Amino acid sequence: MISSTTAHKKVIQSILGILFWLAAWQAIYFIVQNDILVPAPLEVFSLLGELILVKSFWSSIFFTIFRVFAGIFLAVVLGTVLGISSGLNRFLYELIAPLVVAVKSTPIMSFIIVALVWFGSGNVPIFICFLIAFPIIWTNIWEGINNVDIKLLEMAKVFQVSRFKILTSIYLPQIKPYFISGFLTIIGLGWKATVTAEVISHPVHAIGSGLYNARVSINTVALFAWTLAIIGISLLIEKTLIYLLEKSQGSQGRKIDNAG
Amino acid sequence: MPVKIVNLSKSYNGLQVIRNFNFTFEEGKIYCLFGPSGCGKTTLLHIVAGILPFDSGFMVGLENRRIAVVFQEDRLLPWLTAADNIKFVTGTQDSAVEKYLKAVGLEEFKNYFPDQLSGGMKRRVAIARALAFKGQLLLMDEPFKGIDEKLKRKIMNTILADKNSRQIVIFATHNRGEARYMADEILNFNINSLFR
Repeated sequence: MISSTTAHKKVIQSILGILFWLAAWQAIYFIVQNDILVPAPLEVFSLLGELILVKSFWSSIFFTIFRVFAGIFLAVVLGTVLGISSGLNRFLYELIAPLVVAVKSTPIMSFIIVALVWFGSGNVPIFICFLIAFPIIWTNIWEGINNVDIKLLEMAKVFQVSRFKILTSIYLPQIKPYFISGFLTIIGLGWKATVTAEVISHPVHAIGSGLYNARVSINTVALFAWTLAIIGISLLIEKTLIYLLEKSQGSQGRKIDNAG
Repeated sequence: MPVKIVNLSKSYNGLQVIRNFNFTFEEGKIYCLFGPSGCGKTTLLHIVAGILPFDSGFMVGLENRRIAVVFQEDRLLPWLTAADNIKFVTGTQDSAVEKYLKAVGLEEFKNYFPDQLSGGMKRRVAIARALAFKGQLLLMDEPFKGIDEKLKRKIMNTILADKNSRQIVIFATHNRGEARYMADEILNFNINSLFR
């Protein structure tokens, strides 16, 4: 009963927060009185309503989501494998660390321009998403490996536990929180990086291309409508993933409860 | 084959904890390292277990020997149940897991995770894990800490009954009763100098 009331209160507070910012947007629109600088919220929402009915809008969303997931998938696979290997092998760490530092400190635009020369426009956003996500996953996994409890490793060594079992039963569970934290970070950043790369490389079906076209035609209403779509989808994906992660943690919790 | 320790010395930051220690642990016997905290009992057990390097001396008879350890801290994997913690070192011999969990009075708690168990219960899981591993050398560091008298006696009896003629058991304690009840031979330790 208490938790249901608290959840209800939380939803009302969230709605009030959104309404506040919509009101602020409307107020700014009234003050500025310039559609090119700040469009009317109602106009933006009505255009978004029209876009939703257009097939190309959904294909743009589908291909952008695909690019984000492809980039993140590559970063997760390579970041995890190389993160674990670097955590276990000092030489490999010394080999990869400078590359990661270089990628982290290089402006994203430099990579986009270079990638445009290397790849087709559709693949540039995938590559950029990967470049943004990989260092985060690699660093988190490496940190997780380095924080593995030495006492548990000693115990496993004494009892002659196989290396594979040590990896799956000691290392992997201990790096799990580091992985989840990195994964949640790259979901948000991956979106931003992918759409930015799409704006520059403007592939045929892409949210970024929608933004680019709106910019070229100085159509601020469309620009805001596409931006709202990005925020909405990004939030939806992030919340879904957090829900799935919590659910997977929850199933472990049930396992604990059943144990009694 | 007995385990022979010859002229073993170990220092921490210039402070000598073990000095020229010589001893032969015979098979089929239980040895107690008896002495106050900080006298080097844990250091000696860790050296014999192969997880702590020593400064000088040598050891014979440890090659290819299965070693089971009850550490001073329980060293259980928090994400595995009591039964799975035992299986982690023994493989998948369910019968052995059941047998030793029963021996330490935890058969009802086999599916509990370490954070659901009390300190004494975790200690008992650690003991069950070491016993189920069937080591030819069983090392135990303050194994009965936090376990009530009745259960302690039951576990000590299990260890005594389980011991075979080729096994060496070495345990450290500062409890005279435990030492007298379990050990065939007691090695008295003094602070900063290990001597027999």
